Amino acid sequence: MEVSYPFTGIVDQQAMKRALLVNAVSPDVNGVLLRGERGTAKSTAVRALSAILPDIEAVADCPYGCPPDDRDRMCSECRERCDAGESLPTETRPIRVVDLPLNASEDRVVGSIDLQRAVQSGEATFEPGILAEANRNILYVDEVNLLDDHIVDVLLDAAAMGENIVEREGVSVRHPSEFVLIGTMNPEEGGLRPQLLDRFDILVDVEASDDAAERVEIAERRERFDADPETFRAEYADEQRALRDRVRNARERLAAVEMSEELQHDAAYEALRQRAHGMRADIAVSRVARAIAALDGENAVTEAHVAEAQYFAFPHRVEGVAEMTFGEGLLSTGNDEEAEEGEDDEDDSDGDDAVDQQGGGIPIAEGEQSYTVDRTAIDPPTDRTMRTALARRTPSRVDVRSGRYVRSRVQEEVDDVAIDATLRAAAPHQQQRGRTGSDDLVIEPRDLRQKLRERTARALVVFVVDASGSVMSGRQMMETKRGLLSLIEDAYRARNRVAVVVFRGESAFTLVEPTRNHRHARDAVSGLTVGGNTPLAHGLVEAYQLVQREKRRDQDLYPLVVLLSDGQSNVEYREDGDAKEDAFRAASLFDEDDVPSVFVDTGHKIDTTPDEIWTDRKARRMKRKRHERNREFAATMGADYLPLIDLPRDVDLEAANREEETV
Amino acid sequence: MTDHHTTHDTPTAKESRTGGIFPFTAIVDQTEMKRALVLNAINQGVGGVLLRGERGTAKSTAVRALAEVLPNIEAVADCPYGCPPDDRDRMCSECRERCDAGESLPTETRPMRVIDLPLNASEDRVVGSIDLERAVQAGEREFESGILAEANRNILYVDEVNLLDDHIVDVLLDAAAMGENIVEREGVSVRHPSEFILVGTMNPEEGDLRPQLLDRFGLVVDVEGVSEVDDRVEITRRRAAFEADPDAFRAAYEEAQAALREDIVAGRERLPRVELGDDVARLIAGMNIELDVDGHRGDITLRRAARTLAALEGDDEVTARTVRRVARMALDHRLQRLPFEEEEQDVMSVFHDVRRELGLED
Repeated sequence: MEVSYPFTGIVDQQAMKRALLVNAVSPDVNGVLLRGERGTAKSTAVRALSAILPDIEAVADCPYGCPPDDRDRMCSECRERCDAGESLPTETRPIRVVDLPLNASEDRVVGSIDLQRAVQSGEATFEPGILAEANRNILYVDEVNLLDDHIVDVLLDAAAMGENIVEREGVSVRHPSEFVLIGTMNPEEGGLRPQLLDRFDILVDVEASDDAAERVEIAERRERFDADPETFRAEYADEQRALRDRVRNARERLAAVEMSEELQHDAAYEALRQRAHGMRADIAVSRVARAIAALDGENAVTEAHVAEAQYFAFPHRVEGVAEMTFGEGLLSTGNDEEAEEGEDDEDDSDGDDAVDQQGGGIPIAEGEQSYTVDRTAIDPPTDRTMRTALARRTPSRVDVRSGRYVRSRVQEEVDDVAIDATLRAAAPHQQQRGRTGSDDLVIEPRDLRQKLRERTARALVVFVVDASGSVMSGRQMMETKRGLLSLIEDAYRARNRVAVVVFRGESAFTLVEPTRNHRHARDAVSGLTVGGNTPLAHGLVEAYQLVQREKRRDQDLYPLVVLLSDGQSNVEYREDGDAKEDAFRAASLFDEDDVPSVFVDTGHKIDTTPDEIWTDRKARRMKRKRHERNREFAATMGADYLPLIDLPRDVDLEAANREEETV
Repeated sequence: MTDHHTTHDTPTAKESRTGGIFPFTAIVDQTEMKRALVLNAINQGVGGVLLRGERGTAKSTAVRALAEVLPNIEAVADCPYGCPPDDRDRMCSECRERCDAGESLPTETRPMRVIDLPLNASEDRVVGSIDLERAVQAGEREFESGILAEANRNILYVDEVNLLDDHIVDVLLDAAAMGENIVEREGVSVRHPSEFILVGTMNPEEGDLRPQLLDRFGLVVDVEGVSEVDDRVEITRRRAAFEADPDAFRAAYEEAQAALREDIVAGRERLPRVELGDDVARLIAGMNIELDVDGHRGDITLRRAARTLAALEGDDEVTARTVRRVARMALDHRLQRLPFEEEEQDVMSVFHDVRRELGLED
């Protein structure tokens, strides 16, 4: 709505506000991503920003609002006019926040042929889209993690080049598209593609306040604003004006801000030391530091500015960022120690760690530092392998008639007509085809375009979990649970349903019926207890029946069965059967019915557990034998085979889980 | 403005519009469900309601019946979004332009409506799309508005909301979050206000709701079957009487319906005057902190719901007792249950803990 909440009326959230101001000051800063739980004023802040953005000079009649005095940044038309000696009409206008809604279709984002003009005059002219509007402005994407992949591609292209190149429907255009990208997201709903994440110079995690007085203040201001926006805004008018002036002054100052070579060197060194991904980290830091200096009214970047810039630029580029609160310097915090300890672990992996493994708790290496564990840091290789395997097994997108229309294409038999694209194809030919006055448009078969629709595949992931007492040592159960919980979260992010089948004692049961509420599944898995025999066949049959039942309900269902087991079986399914043979029989059901499946061998790691006193040779033989048998089992099931490798040992699993909740 | 003023004779207009609807006030028991719906009718800010329960618990009946007791609103007569004539901030761009150009907008008084969002609705129909006829005939691009336009300032009702397609849910959440619908597709580029009260019903046996959508509902009520024998008998009796002679049945309840309508209108008027004192504010904030509710939406919803309940009951001040009666419906669905934490948080016990801590009377 046009009524926006005053920026200066937002309670606390210093880091978020500061990050947004930095972007308002410097067009060179590559955007900010605000990440956080629901209802933490993220969108409110972005919308509020527009009221304090400074003015810019723009060519009045140019659709891209070119800068009148910067020939390099002009569109080709303005440049031509400029070269022809024309004096361009200019106007002063505020920088705007341009919305990119999730439902945007590609033609509106990049622009397309102007339909009306094409019909009326037969000319193929370009009608600019959102990327044109965004030039020299701020482009805002709410729920940026839910944006369609092909729109993300378009966005990344434009962002990388600073221009939008359009070659479609008979128009061929390139125009400047330099924008500051601002995104907000709730990480619970899904992650962001790494390329897109890296596009943001700044990442801020936004959290709700846990101070009662502050919460009361937040709620009261909101209520006063809702009841009477005019009066509320009037109260903040002075502060808003002051802030707006500050931003404008900072923007003017920006070009004059110096950053000493020494500090640049330090920043580069720090990025290296922290093992920041890619080349962008130190560049981002210097861009952000300059903007901060300008905002603080200073002409030279100081160490404090650099430290603050690192706070903003590092979280998504450095794994396992040391815990720090806003305002503290990062230069003095020893993240490198953690990295070195990580290396130590690899070196003496059969030393102390083995002892750690036996004990229940797993301390975080040495030293009593507490770490904010980045998601990537607690994402051990095993999980990544599992994720990749599962991702390969579940189609994330399917072409269906009922999905959302994302783009159009030419195809031989068109049975789902994309009206807009078809009209655009027909439009330039109307005069040739003899259409006059108010006739209907003349549309020929070759104009027809097919709608390409997409829908997130609705997969059902059935986890079959061994919860028998013999197999599951405390630690192992913990790891299985942890892995399972993160897979459940993943399934939720991919909008898949999950079900959990458990086998233990003499039978199997469905612990979690197919659900889309990951919290239910999480609760049930967390509370799972272990004990008794290992009725593998029962577990598989239960899962098989579950899949059959669900298939009857939904013809298009895409099931995926994930078995988490060490492959052992000691309860027969048939009265006179053999436990092992029955398990193989049950497994073959999945192969026969082509039910996609993955066998995660959790027993693989037992071989390295030191409390089993085996000679090396015996251990190797046992290991090989089990490995062979389990591979054979996977083959019978028609499943991908994934041995569960050791997890890195310097991560406190319970802490990791708690962290995961708050990431 | 008054030149064009027209007023519908509301009661008759409503009857003809809704046909023979079972009266809201004839629904037996189900106090929480009815309270949640009425609170929304008084204050749009409460943020909608989700009714969860098994089949045959009068969920849909109640939502449809609500239409008859909704208050009237003033709207720009010829605007597809029914803009409020005296609130420039909430107008669509066209009304705003007309207003700024000094035009006096034609207004009419109309009842709030319940707009259905069917499960099979396509995205085009929900957000709106290019006007096909105009496009083919004249090659012009005009926006044909969709359900989100119709829902502006009304109630948007989704039956079986848990079965709604994901991409429709995303669109709905977007609009609900911003109070406007931004369309950038199929060659049209439009934004218009879309502030609606989201009402959903669902049978949890059919599947769950994504937490993000769940969180969007201000209130959630778990509707249970009536267990009192007398009540069950009464339900059957009323249902039979209604089916035998709907007109007579409705006539018998007209007085109760009129009374409720008046209460709602009175509640609306009283609402801005209802005070929420410091201690109650701290009680609400304390509960949200204790329950570890995500963000600040829990605080805001609970405050609004409590204020609205006070207004409905003719009180000028929110008390702890008012908070108690809306706490569960405002917060229960926002609780986080973390893995490896065995003990379950309960809204009511946290309410009493915090209340005692602050030394408040119940």
